Amino acid sequence: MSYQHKTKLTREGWFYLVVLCFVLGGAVLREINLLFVLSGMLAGPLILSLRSVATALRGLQASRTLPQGVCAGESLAVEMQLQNTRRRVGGFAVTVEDSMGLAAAGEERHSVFFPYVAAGELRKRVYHARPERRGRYAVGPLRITTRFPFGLVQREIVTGGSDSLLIYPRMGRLTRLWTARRHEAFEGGRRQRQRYSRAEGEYYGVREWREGDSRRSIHWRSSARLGRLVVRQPEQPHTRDMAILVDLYAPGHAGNAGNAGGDDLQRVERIISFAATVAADVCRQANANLLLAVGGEETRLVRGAVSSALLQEVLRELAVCEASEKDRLQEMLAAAVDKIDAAAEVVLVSGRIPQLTGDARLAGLWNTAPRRSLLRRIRIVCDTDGFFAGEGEGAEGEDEEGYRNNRATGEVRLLSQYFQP
Amino acid sequence: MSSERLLQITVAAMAALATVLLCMSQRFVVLPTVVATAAFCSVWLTDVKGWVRLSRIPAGLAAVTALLYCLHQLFPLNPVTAILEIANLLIYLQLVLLFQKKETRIYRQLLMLSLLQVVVATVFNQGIWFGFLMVVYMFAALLALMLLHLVREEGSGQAVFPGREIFARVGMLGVGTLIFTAAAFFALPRLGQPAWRGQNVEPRRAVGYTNEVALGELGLIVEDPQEVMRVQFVDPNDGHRAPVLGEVYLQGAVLTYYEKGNWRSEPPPRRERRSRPMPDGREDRREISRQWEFDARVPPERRRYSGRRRWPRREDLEKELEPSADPPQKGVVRQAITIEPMDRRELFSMRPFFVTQTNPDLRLSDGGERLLRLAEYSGRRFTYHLDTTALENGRQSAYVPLAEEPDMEELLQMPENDLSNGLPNLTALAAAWTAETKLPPENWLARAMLLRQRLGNGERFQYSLEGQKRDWKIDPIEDFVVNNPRGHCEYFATALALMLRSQGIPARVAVGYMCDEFNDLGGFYQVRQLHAHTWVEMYLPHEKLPPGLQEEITSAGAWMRLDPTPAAASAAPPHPWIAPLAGSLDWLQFAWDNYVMEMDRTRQKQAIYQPLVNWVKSGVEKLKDPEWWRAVGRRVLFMLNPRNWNVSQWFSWRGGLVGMAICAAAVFSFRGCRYCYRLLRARWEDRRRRRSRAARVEVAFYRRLGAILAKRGLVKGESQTPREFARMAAERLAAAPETRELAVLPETVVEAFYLVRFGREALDEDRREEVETALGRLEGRGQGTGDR
Repeated sequence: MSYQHKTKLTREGWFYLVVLCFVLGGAVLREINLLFVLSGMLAGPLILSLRSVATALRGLQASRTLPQGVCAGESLAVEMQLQNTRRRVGGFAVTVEDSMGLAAAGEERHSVFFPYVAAGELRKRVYHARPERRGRYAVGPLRITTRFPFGLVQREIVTGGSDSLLIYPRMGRLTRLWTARRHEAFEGGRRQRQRYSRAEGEYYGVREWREGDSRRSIHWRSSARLGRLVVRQPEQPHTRDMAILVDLYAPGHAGNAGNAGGDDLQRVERIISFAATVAADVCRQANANLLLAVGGEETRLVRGAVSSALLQEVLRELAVCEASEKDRLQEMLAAAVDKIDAAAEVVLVSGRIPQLTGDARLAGLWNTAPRRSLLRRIRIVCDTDGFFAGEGEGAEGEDEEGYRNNRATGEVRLLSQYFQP
Repeated sequence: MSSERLLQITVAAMAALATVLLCMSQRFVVLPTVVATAAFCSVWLTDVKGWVRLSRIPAGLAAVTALLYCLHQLFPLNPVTAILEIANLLIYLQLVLLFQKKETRIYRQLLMLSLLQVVVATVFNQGIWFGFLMVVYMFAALLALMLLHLVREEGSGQAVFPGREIFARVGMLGVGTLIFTAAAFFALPRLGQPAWRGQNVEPRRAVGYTNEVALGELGLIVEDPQEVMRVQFVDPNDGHRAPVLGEVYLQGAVLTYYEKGNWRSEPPPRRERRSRPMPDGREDRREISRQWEFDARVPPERRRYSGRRRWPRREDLEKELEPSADPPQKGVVRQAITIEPMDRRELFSMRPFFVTQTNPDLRLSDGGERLLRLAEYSGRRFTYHLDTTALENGRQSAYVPLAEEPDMEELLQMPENDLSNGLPNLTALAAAWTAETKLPPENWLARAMLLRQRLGNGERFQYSLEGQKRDWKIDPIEDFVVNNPRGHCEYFATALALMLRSQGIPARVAVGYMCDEFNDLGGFYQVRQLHAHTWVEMYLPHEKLPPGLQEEITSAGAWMRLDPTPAAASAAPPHPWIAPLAGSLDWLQFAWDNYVMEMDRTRQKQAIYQPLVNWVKSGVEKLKDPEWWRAVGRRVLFMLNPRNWNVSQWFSWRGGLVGMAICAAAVFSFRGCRYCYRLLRARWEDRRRRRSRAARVEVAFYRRLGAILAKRGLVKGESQTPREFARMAAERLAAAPETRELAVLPETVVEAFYLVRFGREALDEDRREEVETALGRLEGRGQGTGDR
C-alpha cells in the first residue's frame, strides 16, 4: 500500500500568520511585553497544530466498498469506512476524499466527513455518484485529510492504490415496435413449426451440447465428425435465441468510445446502449441463447445460454469496447456466422447501413446454404441520419445503395424506432 | 448541547472578556457590563430564540453610526484618545455583530474584533490580573477556534461532539500553548529599548520633594502601591550584589524653613519687607540693592546659605555632577537606581553620594543638597548610578559627614507665628521633656534621642494616615502637639525638628523614601509611593559626635538622621487563609512585574541568558572535577543505605528540574533518532524497490531466452543452473552447422542475467543492446530452423 503525506497551511492559517506577524511586529518594535505574551499565545496554536494534525491521522485507516453492476446514468453508492485503530485517542473532523473518473476524462471528487471516530471504532458513510459514461473508471487513491484542531494547518495522507470500477453502458427503453417484432418473430416461428414440423420427438437436427442436456441425447456420430459434443434436437426449438452483432465503425474517431465527442461517437454510444438493453431484455427470458459480437477496436465474441453471468459478461464487453476507425464488419461476421444458431434471431446494429452482399469482402462470406439462410435472417438496425424508417422508402445516396443491396437480408430499421435512450 | 450552541456561547463570552480586558486599565465598569449583558442577550434572543436578528442593512447602518460617533470623539486628536476611541469602535462593531445571524464569517469577525481589543488592551494594562484574564481568554479562544472548525467542517453544526474529549484537547493544547508562550517570551531577543510600562496618561506624582511642602500633603500618596524606583547596591569593583540589611533612606529634598504648616527649602518671600513704604511714601530700595550686591559678590553655589538675603533663581544654582577629586577607597557601594517617569526632576539617593565619572544627565542644586536630572528625562524611566559610603556592615549609617559647616542660623529658624506667640506649646513640651531628664543642654545627642523617643514611643502621639481635623487658627503643628496628636511622618518629623530647634539644636527635615521592601529574587529594593517618608536631620558638630565617630568624620561635623515616626498601629489579624493568599498574590505580582513586565534586554541577559550560561559553565566544570564525581558517588551510596532514607531528602526542586530536563532531552533524542532512522529506511527501501523493479524488468530477457530455446526443444532441467543450461544449449547449437555461430549467444545472455539477478546491478546501455541483439539473432535463426 503506497503512502504519501503532505502538510500545508490553509487559507485561514495564512491569515492567522499575518495577524501573528502584525502582533509580533508591534511587540518587537515597541518592546511591549504583553504583546510578546500575546504573540506567544497566538503562535502556540499554530505550532501545536502542525503537531496535532500529524498525530490526528495516525492510526486511521480508510477503505471503500465499490458496488458492482452499475450502469451509466444510474446512482452509485460507495461505502467509505474509517477505522480508528488507536486505543485511547479519538479522531476528529476527518475527511476522506475519493476520486473517480475515466482515464481520458477529468476525475470527479467525492468526500465524506467523519465528525468523530472514537478509539477502536469503525465508522461508515456513503457517498453517491452518478457516472454518466460507460467504461472502466479509475477510483482512488483515497485522501484522508484533517485540519483539526483549529483549521489552520491541513494534513493529507494519500493511501492505497487505485481501484477500477466498470460502469456498464447506459440502459435505455425498447419500443413497442421492437417488442412486437420480437414477439412476431417468436410466434411466427412457432406457427411455422406447428404447420410444418414433424411429430413431437422426431429428429430435427443437432445443436451444441449444453450443460443440463442428457447424455443420451448426444449424437455421437455428429460429435465425432465435428470434433465437439452435439446433441439431437428432436424438433425445431421455439427458443428466443438472439445474436447481436455490433458494428462500431466510426471513421476518424478512433479511441475510447466512452469519451464521446462528435456525432459519430454519440451514435456509437447509442448503438452500444441499444445492444446492452437488448441483451438485458433477452437475458430476462428463460431458455434462450445469446451471442454478442462486437466489431470495434478489437473483435470480441461472447455467447452462451442466458444467465445473469452471461449478461454480466456481455455488459463488461460492451462497457470497454471502443469505436474503430477501421471497418471490422467482415472480421466480426466471419467470427460470428458459424456460431449463430440456426433458429436465432440476428440483429446487426450499426451506425451505417452495411452492404452485406454488395461488398466484395463480405460476398465471400455467404458461400454456404446455412450462411445464406443466416443472411436472410439478419435484421439491420442502423443509427444513421441519411436513412429513415420504412422498408424501401426514401433511400438516398450510399444508404440507398446499401438498402438496395440489403434487399437480400431481413429488414432494415432505424435505431430510434426500436430504442429510446 | 450541539457544537454550534457551544460555539455561540464561547464567542459571546470571548467578546465580553475582551471588553473587560480593554476596560481594566480605565477602571470603567459600565461598558464591560453593557457588553456582557448584550452578549448574554444575543445568545438567548438571537441564537437560541431567533427573535432578534439584524439583517445586513440595519447592521451596516449601525456600524456606520458607530464609526461616525467614534470619529467625532477623536477630536481634538490625541494619540491616547485615538487608541481608546478605536477600541470603543471595536466594541460597538462587536455589539452589532453579536445580534446578527451567526455564520462562519460573523464568527470570524467576532473573533478578530475581540483579538484586536486584547491587542489594544495590552498597551494600557500592566497588572497581574490582566495576565490571569489573558490566560482565560486564551483558553476560550482555543475552544472557539476548535468549535468553529468543527462546525464549519461538519456543515450543519448540529453534530454533538464528545464534550469531555473536546475540553480535554483544549486543556492540553492550552497548557502546551502556555509552555510555548513562556519559552518564546523569554527566548525572543529584545531590541534594547526599555520595556513598555503601559500608556500612562500622567507620570507619577511627586509630592513633598519640591522646595515647598505643606503638612498633610504627603498623606495623599502614602497608601499608593505604585512603584517609583528600584535601587540595587553593587560592589563597584566586581559588579556583584552588595549585601544590604534593613531599611534604606533615600533622600530627595531637605527643608529648612518652617512657617504656618509649610516647609520650604528657601526662605519665604519677604515682600512686605521689600515693599515696606518709607515714611515719605517711597519704597525702600536699600534692601533690594543689598541683595543685588550680595548676588554679585557671592558665587551662586554658596548663595543658598544666605537665608536672610534674597534667594537667587534655582536655575542659576544648578551645576553638573563632577567626579569626586579624592574618592574614598574603602566601603564604597554603588547605587544603581531606576526611577519611573515622574512629574518632577528630583532624584533620590542614599547620602552621601559621589561619582567617579561625569554624568552629563545629572545636575546638582542647592549646593549639593538636591540631585536633579535633565528636564527631558523626567517624563520617562531613568537610570543613574551613584557611589556611596553610607553602608556600614550592610546597614545604612545614621551619620552623613559634611564637607563644610552649615549655616546654623537657618537651621535654628523658628516660625514667626502671627497667630500666636511662636510655637509655645511645642516649645514648652520639649522643655518639659528635657527638664524631666535633666540632660545638660550641651548634650545634643542625648536630648535629641530623648525627644525622638518621646515622640515615637506611641504613648501620646499616634501614627495615622487618616486625615485629621486641624484647628487652622493655630499652627498645625501646635494643633498636633496640643489637640490632636495623630498624624503621619510629616507631623512627627516637623515636631521633632522644631522641638530640637527650640532646644537650640540645629535640625532640618528631609523628604524622600524609606524602603524596607527588598526583592530577594531581583536583588533590589522596590520603592513604592507608599514608602514616601519624612525624617529629621540633626546637625552634630565634630565635638558633639560620639567618640567612636570623631576619628572618621571630618571637622565639619555630620548630619545625624533621626526618625521619630512610630510604627502604624497593628491592624486586626487577617483571616488564617488570607495571609498566605495575599502572600502568594504578592509573589505572583512580583514575578509578573519582574519577569514579564520588566523583561527588557538587560533583564533578559541578567535573568535568563547569564544564569543559563553560568549554569552550563558550572555544570561543565563539575563534570570535569573528579572531586564532584566522588561527592556524587558518596551521596548515592549514602542514599542507597536504608538507614539514611528520609523522604524529605529524596526530593529536590533542582534535582527534579534537572531530571525532567534530562528525560525531555532523552525523549526528544529518541524521537529524533527514530525519525532519522525511518527517513533513512524509507529512502533505502525506495531505492531497493526501484532496483528490484529494474531487476524484474531486466530478468525478463532471461525468460525470453528460455522461451526461444524451448521452441528449439531446449528446455532447462530442474536440476540445471542457468549456466549449465546455457552450456548445454551452446553444445546443442554448436552440434548443428547452421546454428553453430549462435552457440555463444545463450551464455552471453545468461551472464547478463547473473549480473542482474545476483549482482543487483542494472545493465548499462551497451550490455542491454548486446543482450537484445543476441536474443534477436537466436529468435530469428530459431524460427527459421523450425519452419524448415
